[in-house]
Amino acid sequence: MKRFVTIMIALLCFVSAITVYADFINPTITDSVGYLTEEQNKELSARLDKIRKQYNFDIVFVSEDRLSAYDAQTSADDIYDYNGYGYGENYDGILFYIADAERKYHFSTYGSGMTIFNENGLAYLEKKIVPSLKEGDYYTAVKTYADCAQELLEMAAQGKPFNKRQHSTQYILGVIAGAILLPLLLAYFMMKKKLAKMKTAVKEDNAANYMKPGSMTLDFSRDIFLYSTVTKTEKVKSNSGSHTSSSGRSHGGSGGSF
Amino acid sequence: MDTVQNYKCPCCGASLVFQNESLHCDSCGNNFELDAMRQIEDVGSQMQGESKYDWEHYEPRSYEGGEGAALASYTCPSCGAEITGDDTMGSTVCPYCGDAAVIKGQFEGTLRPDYIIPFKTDKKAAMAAFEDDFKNAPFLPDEFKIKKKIEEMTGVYVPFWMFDCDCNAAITYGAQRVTSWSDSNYNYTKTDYYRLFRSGSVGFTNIPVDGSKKADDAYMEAVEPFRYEDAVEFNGAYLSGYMADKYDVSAEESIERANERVTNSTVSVFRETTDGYAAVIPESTKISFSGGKIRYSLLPVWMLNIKYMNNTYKFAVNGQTGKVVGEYPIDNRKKWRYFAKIAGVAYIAAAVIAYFLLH
Repeated sequence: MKRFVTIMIALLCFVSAITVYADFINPTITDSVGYLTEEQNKELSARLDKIRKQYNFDIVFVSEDRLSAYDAQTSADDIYDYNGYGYGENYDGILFYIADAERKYHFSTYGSGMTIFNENGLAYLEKKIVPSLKEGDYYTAVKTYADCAQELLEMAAQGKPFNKRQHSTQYILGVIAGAILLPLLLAYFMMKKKLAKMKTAVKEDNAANYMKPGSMTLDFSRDIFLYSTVTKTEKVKSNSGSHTSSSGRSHGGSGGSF
Repeated sequence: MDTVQNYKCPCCGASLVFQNESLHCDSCGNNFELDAMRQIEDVGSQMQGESKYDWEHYEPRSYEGGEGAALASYTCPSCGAEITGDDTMGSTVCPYCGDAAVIKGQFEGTLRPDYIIPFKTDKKAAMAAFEDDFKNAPFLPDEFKIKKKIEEMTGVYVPFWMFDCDCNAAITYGAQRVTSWSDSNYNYTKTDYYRLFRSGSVGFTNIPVDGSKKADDAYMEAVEPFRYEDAVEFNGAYLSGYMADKYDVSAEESIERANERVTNSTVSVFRETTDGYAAVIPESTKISFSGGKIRYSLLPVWMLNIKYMNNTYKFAVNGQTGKVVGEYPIDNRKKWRYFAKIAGVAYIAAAVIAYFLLH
């Protein structure tokens, strides 16, 4: 009996091990453009592979010569959905996609990836990675992707997913400028208000005090419409929210140009 | 024979061209409904035109019989003010410049006022009103409280022209109404432009205009309003114990200021009938009236000159209502200290808000 139990446990472990490895059938890096040298590819593949096994979370980099769908988001989502990426029954993972000709990038997340790499997490990734993309340093970009992904996965593993708000430089400068200028303006207007009490001898241009009570009569009143103008401004879109891919699955993600 | 109607663009004044069932402006690109343009032409032609302010001529009056016997004329050699007072008035100072060397002379008996509002606030009450106002002046130098030298507070009947009119008004306003909405991709702002026509009538009574060159117009308008229901027929006896200036700005010279105030108030009161618009700007105003009345009145004002650091600071107190106006010296250190205090508190608040906005 004891022998039977031991055999069953060993069999179960073997089956589980097969299941785990079966979830990571795809390579971590599919660099169709050839951004990485063979050596770099090998090094970073090993790094990403280690991370995905450590956290049971698929982490992938894919580059294409040009968009395989009509935009980077759809391309990244389709590659993720139709090529068996993702770990476990929830297909947890993240895919970093680059379309070389269009100079577009996109991070597609799925399953627990949508929580671990939430809006702020993706903004953090973009802030760290996009500068390297702009410089054409794809090795550093993918390496930084691995570093940041590991950092965020570790935080999630400890029960505290990264959720620090990320702001654009423009927003930060706006807040700082407001914090510097608004107090000065407030103080200036309050001082002007007080100064008005120091000089009360000012002309009175109106004669409302001398209007005969009830003397105002309106004999004629007409409002004629002349014309209209309509201005439209594009909404600032945050594409890091949830969306549905062509396969019908709900992805998270964020992307842009570099 | 039919004539060709040429419509001008209400926005830029360029000629409009009939195009696709509407009138198009090549200059600014706007389109206008033909019916709207017809209405604007019809109504606008009635509303346009020059304003006509028709005031009756004012004929100066002289003192009658022995009415001026108890009065004397006083001249200030420093500022040239000519003041009327009672004949028994002892040493006095000029209410306008504070000079004490006022010279007594012969009363001429000309320029008799029609009405007078007698003083209701006595000297003690006027001084108390000034002290109250003075305590609330925020940036007053501390030394001013100690070193100020208050000259005599003098009760002066200041000459004013009083204007009455019942005017017809035709006013055109440009107005805008703004609506906003959005869809999944864009925010939209629609601005509808209108032309508003208003006409009607409104009456004014006793609009005062300062008739003395020596009395600063800003002070005399700031010390308003006066309650004219307290006015009585002029009698020289009311001058006893007070000084009275006589006008040296004629009624004709004061009309322009009266017209300005009538126009401003009329535009303002008719604007109240244009609710529901985001912006209403007057484009044309036609005011017309005839037989506008002008009267010469003396209104009560306490004048106070304070000498401090080689400067004279002037104050006026309404002798009927006790309202105080003037100009105080400013302690710049106090002013900037206040600025720094407010800015400091605001910076702390701004730092806290910025922290929450950035984290």
